[in-house]
Amino acid sequence: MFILNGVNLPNPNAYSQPTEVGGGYVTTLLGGTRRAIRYKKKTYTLEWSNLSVTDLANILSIYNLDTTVTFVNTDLSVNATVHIDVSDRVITPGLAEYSGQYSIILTEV
Amino acid sequence: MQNVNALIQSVTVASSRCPGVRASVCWDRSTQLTNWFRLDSSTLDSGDILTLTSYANGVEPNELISQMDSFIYEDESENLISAEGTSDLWGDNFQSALSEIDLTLDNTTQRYTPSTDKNLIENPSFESTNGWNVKNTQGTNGGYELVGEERGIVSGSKAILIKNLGSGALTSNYLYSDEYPIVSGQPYTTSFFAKGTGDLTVRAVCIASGTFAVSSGTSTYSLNSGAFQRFSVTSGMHPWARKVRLDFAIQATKIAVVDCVQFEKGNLTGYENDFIGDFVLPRRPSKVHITMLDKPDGAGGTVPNFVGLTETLENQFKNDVINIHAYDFGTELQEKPAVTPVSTGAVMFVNQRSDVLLRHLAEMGGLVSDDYSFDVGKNTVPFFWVQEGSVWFYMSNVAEAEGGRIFFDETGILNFWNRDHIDNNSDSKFNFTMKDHIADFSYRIDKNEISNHIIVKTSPREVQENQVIWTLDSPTEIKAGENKTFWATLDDPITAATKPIART
Repeated sequence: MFILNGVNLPNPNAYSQPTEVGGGYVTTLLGGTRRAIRYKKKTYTLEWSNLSVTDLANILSIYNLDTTVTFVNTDLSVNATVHIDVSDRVITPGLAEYSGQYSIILTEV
Repeated sequence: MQNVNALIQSVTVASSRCPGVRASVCWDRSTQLTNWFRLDSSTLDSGDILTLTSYANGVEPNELISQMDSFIYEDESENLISAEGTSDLWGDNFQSALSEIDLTLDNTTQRYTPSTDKNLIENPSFESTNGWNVKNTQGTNGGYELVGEERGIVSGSKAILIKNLGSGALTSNYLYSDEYPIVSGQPYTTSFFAKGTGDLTVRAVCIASGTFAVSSGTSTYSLNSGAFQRFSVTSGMHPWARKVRLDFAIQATKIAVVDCVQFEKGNLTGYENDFIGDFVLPRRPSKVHITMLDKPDGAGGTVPNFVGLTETLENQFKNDVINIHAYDFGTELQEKPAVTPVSTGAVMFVNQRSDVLLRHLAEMGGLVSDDYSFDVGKNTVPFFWVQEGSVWFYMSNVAEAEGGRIFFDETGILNFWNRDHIDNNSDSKFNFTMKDHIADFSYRIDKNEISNHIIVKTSPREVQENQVIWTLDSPTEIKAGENKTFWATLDDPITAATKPIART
């Protein structure tokens, strides 16, 4: 189950949560590899092929709060405070009225 | 040279590690009493932008800041975007070193922007009971009291505890503010920190005239008994309203602790986390540490990297960052004129070792013995006097004559190395290898850096028998009982002067 700011989201058609590592690798003169890890943070991407008007309105109302919110993914035990970015909406003719492709990117604070 | 403990050494050279930076500033201490101009965010849209104000929190005019560990520092690491520091050797003999550092801090919360006059509430953080009142109809079961809470930027700051241990409701027991003028019909935002038990109800009561009052709506928050939470609500003021007061009421049988109340005009989505904008000033003690852990939140520790004073603070509104430049005390002593203290009774020091002269200079600069650590000098200076130069200028000269070095170290202590210091401290602290540690290595030989012909010009002096050192240009008549003062400018320094006697 996906919950954004207390609102249940429909299950996405695609979901990913890659980890960004702050830091870099250094190679020594004779080939040793050293790594600095300053931080790790996750980005959660949810994509829907056909998002209903109601669900879209729910997401946009949260997005328009202009603040960080809580994101929960019960399946993967995720509970994070995130910033929200939203995609452009792509409407496919012939599908249910006004439903369309949509995605959101949630970045850990 | 710092001795770094074995744990930090092992973490530093490990195959994988987590380096970081910790920056802290003592915001609430200033030292120089003067006027300055401040950019006030509350006047950005109208009226004057620059406000002439007096320098806040003066301690002593022209005081040299020392004893750095005696200050209370605020850790700003959470807002730190970048830190870049340099230490440069100065002088023909590299006899001195100066350090400086540039910090860039995130200011999206406007933490570092002055906000005077933006908050309409008097005494918003409850350091006293001024401006606040209580309606209490249930005796000892209700009321309020000031309590010490670790919120606020200054240790020892207070918050207010509101209790409603009986059955009183919002209409019979509540904390309320004095009345403050507002613009009718406009939105205003109330925000505050709170913790406690039960539900806390907040309302802004609009007052038109006399006793006519109408609530702009109530908001109720479920409190956490652990950490403080920040709550915020925006409400429109009544079209007839001329003043407003804030009410805080806690649910029956519960308590609430409230701090840092902010009531300001506008529909605000954020809030100012702490009110330190007015404290963002030059000459504030600053420290930077390098942190080295084996992994985030893992084992390791910190190593001091810089101690100094803030110099310039540039608040970039478009980028929501503030750039802070800080310098070490060497730069501070460059602005401190060297004046022979009257207490020494000497205008010239004769046959003094380098470290003894440096100690005199350190005292001229206002340092105390805990602020410096000097090697015993190898050089004895026959004659030393100060004349129109800074403390740092003369310290550098003494170090140059010694062939040594003067500098403030990473902990803010003034160090003097004599000419043999490096030879006598050449034991290895750590062995770096090209396999495990060294990423690149190069060196250069340059004919311009080789000197085979050196000319030394000296101005030798020696103590003479009594000489005439100054003569009045023309006789002056002094009447009986009259005092006259003469100022003498000498061509040469003196070790001692004979007191003039009339008619001799």
